[in-house]
Amino acid sequence: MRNLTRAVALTAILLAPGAALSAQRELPYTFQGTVRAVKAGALDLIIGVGEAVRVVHMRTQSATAVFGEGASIALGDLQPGDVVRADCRLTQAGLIADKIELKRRAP
Amino acid sequence: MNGARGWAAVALLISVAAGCERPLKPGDPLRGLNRAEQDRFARGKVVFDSTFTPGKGLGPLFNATGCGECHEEPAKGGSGDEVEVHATAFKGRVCDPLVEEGGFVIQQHTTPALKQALGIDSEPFPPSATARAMRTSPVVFARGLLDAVPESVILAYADPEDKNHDGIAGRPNRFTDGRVGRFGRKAFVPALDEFNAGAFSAEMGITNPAVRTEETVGGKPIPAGVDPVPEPEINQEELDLTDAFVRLLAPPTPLKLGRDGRRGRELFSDIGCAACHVPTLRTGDSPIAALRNKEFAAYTDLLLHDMGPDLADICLGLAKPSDFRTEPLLDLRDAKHFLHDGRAATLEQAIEGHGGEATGARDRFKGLPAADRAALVAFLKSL
Repeated sequence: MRNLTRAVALTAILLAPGAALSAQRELPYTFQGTVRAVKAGALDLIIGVGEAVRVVHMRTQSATAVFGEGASIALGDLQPGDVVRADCRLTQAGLIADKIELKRRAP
Repeated sequence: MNGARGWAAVALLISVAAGCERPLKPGDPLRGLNRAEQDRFARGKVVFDSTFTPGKGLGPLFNATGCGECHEEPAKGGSGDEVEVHATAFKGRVCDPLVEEGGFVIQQHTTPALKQALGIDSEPFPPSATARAMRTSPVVFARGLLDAVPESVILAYADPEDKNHDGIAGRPNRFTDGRVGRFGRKAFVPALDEFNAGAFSAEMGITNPAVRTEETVGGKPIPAGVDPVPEPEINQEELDLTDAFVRLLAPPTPLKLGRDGRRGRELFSDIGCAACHVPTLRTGDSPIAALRNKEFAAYTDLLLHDMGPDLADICLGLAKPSDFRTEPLLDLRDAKHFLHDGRAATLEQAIEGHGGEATGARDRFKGLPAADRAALVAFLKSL
């Protein structure tokens, strides 16, 4: 689990701003991080490795499934400080979240 | 009968030999490393002690040109006289590490190319920050042992609601992904390898296989041409060797206690210091035998405690401004300043600077006769 989470974090860093997009395929990525901001159709997550912290921007769609505490919830139910896991695809238009799962509520 | 006496003599010799083990000095490796581990420790020390230049990837923002610049006294892996700047924003109950303004480590130096491009000598202080923190460079001895302490041990010391009514309410911090933290003055970082990889980026501007992108300059991209070295600026082997050196650094052997020191050790527990500065921790399983199932002098519970308003500075993760991780008490005999920002010049000042959950222990210390206070300080100086 620890290695998996770490792999997620490391992968996330690979995707931080400035990373080149793979043009042809929609690559799957998973991030686990802290919600920085929730806007209509968009989610910003704080991820990091040690004291090197970065933000990942992702878009959501109407089909994006959002779960929390065992039930389906709305994207707007998420708030800054929540820890979530997001399964995404890297597309020409950027990261698209397919599934977002609330892991821990903000204090 | 003679056989039994012979075995007894052998056992006595072994125990005497064990008791006469050469004390570990600051900067020494752990005992019991195999040859390959000793080799990696030695090679890792070279990377740790190397100096980076812009041509080798340094910067363009940085606090130091190498690990050994800040962790150098009295030996590599020790403390330093550098003080760095951190900043975050505490918004209600949520902490913002100001990633979009360059992150919470505010680098104090720039490469000549960045200075030429932007005319700045340091990273701009983030305008959204609600607090500034000063951070001294701690010793990194025994970090491999601290890393090998099972999370369950840390959580077993937690008592966030002070159910035992002792006035101590230790609680774990958590990283951005929810894992329990243990490294850094706010216990934000969960694992040593991640701390080391992150430090290459945040402290030296050195990208590496775990952190492949440079930080922004106060949230703005690095100007073109300022940092031409391709990412990652060090390879996996250099990162792993540095990690090996830090991971395998031993805690220095405490000095032999005299009568005063022994009295001080008793007082340390009696007045309540040991409630947070837990004297010993035990590691769990580890692929490295020297780190596996070892009890060691840690003097920390790796938890956050409210230290009161006088010490409060930034939030980080779940740590509120007044929350700090119990500092491991290691190599205090060589320390020249104390507390997270170095504000205390003596151990007495450091103890008297404690507040919040430590108020009771502090007041009991202040109420001790002078000889007992001196004894307690003598004990701390043996560490």
